[in-house]
Amino acid sequence: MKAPRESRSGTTLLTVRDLTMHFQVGSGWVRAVDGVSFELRRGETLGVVGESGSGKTSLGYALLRLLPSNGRILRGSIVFDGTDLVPLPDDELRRLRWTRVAMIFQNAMSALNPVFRVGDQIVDAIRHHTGASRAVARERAGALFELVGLSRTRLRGYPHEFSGGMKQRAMIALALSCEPDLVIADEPTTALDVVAQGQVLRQIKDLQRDLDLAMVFVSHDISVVAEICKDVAVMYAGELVEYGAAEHLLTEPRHPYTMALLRSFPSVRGPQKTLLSVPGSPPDLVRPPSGCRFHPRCPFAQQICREVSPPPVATAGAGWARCHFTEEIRRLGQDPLDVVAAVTP
Amino acid sequence: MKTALEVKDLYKHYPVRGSLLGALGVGKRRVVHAVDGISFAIEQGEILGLVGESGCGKTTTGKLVTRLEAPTGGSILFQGRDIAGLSQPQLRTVRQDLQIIFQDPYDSLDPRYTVEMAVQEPLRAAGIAAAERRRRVEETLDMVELRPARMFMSRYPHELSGGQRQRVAIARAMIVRPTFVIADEPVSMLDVSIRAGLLGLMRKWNRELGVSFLFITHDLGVARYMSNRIVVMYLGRIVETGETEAIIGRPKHPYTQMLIAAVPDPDPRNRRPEQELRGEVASAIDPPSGCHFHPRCPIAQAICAVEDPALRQLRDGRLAACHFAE
Repeated sequence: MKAPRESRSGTTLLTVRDLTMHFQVGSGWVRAVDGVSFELRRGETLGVVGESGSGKTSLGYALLRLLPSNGRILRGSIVFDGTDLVPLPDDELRRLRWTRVAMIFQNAMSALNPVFRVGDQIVDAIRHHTGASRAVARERAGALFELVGLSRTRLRGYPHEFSGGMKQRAMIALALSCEPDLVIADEPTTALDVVAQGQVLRQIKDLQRDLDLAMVFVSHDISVVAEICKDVAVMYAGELVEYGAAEHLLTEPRHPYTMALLRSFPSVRGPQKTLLSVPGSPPDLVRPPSGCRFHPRCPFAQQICREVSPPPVATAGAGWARCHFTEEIRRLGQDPLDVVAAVTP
Repeated sequence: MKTALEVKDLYKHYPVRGSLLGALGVGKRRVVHAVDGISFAIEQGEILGLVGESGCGKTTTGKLVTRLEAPTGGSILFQGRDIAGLSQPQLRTVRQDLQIIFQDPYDSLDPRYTVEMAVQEPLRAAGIAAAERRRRVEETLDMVELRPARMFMSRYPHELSGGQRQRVAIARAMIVRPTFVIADEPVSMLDVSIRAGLLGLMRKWNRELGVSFLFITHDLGVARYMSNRIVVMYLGRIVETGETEAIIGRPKHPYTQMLIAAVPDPDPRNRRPEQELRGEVASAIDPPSGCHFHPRCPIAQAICAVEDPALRQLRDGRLAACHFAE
C-alpha cells in the first residue's frame, strides 16, 4: 500500500446542490431524486435511509452519474473535490469512477463472475485501473484481502467457495483497490445474516477510519446506518426530509417520517415498545402528493401540509427537517407517536 | 395448558449428492446433519421463536414440522398424534390445522392467480361452496387489513407491494382457521418500515384467536418482539432455550451472546458491545467435534473440542448446551 495519504480530514469533498434526476416511464417522469442537497467532508460517513421506492438507491447511482438509459439529471450540481461531475465529459468521468469514487453494491453474489477465480478478477480490475504489472497487482490484492479480513490464500478460490459475508468482503477489497477518496455503498449488508452483517459493518467502520475514507451509505435499515454513520439523511419520495448528526437525529427526530422509522424497529437491548408502522405505502413518484409529500401518511398532517411544501427548519446539531410542525412535535415530548397512537383507533 | 405441538428427538439427514465415490458406494457416505436430534414443545396459544444463522437448521425444522419434508428420525406430536410417519394422503386432514407462511412473498404467490383465487384455494380443496368461499375471502382480507377487501380480490400479485403480498400469503394461511402456524422469516424480505404492521397482525391473530406459532427468524429483535419463549439453534442442534426475556436479557450460551451482540440498534444509547464476532457457521457435513460451536467460541477450553455438551437445565429453569454455562 502507498504511504498514508496526507490527512485533509474535515475539508469538503463532495457538495451536492439541488440534484434532480428523473426517469421516464410509460406514464410520465418518475421524480426519483428531487432537489437533493448535502455536503460531505473527507473521512466522514453519511447514511441515506428510506423505504423501497424512496429514491435512495437512485441517489447513490446519480452521484456517479450511473443513470438508467431512461434517466436524466435535470438540474443541480455534484461537486467532487472541486470538479462538477454533472457536465463532465464521459471519458473523464470514467477515469474518476473506481479510482477516486468507488461503489459497493448490495448483491455481491452476482457481481463476481462464477467461472473465474476471485483473485484473478480483482487483479484484472487493479491492472485495468492502475496499469500495474501482474505481480504488483497480485501483491496488492493480497494486501487488500488481509485488510478486509480474508486470508490471502482465498485469492485462489472461486466465488461459489465464498460465503455471502466473504463475497461482500471481497467486493469491499475490490472497491478499495484504487484507494478511492469516496465510497458509495448501497445496502452492502442487507443480504447477510446478522453475525456476518455485524462483522462486515465493523470492518467497514475500521477501514473508513484507518483509510480516512468518505462514504455515502445507503440503506433501508436505520439501525445499520446508526452503526457507522456520523450524519444521517432521511429520504422520502425523492426528497431529503431530515438531515442531521446521528446522535441528534436518532434520539430526537423532528420529522414524523423519521420518528415512524425509528418506532418500526424492535430493539434487542432497549426497552420493549409497541412497534408502529408507517400506514400506507410510498407514493407514485410520477404524480407525487402536493405540498409535503409525506402528508397522506402523516398522523400530524394539517391543511397547510397539503398545500405548501415545507422548507427546511433548523434542528439540533446543525440539522434540519422539512416539516411545518417541528416545533409543535418537539413540545409533544419524547415519543409524539405514542400520543398519536393513543388517540387513533 | 394444552400442548399444541411436541417434537421429540427429531433428525433430518440429507445424503450429499454428486460425490462420485459415494455413487460407487466407495468410501464413507457423506451426510448433511441439517437437524440433529432436537426436542421442544409449544403450548396452545404460545409463540415460540426459533432463531439462528443461515444453515442452523431452522428452516428445515419448519418444513419437518409441517411435513413438507419427511424426518429421518424422531416424532412430531400434533394434537396428540404422531405425524412424523404419516403419508401425504393421511396428512391431508392435518394440513387444515397446520399452515405455513414463507419468507418470499414474490415467490409464494402464483402470478396468474388473482388475490381471490389465491386466498380461496385451500377452501376449494376442502370442497366448500363458491358463495361461502367468497364471503370468507372477503372477511379474511379485511382481517389482514387489505381494505376495501372487494377491491383487492380482483388484483394480481404484480399489482401489489411486497407488504401487501405478504398479507395475502397470511390471509391464505388464515382462511382455513388453523390452530397452528409456522412463519418462516415472514418479514425479512420486507422494508423495515412495513415489518411492524405485519408483526402486529400476527400478534393480534395469536392473541384474539389463540393460534400457536412457530416463528422462525434470524433477527433477535423480531424474535423478542414476537415470542414468549425462544429456541436458539446452531448446526442442527438446540444450544439454548427458555423464556424470551431471560434469553435476550441474560443469554448464557456464548453463541446466543454472540447473536445478540451482532444486532445493530438505531438508538446510540443501545449501541452494541465491542464483542468479537468470530468466524462463520461451519459445515453441517463434517461438523466440528465436541461442541459444534467451539471453533468460534471465545471461552472454549480443551474439553469443548472433545466432549459434546448436553442440553441441561440451569438454575433459572432455562436449558443450555455449554460446559461452562451456569
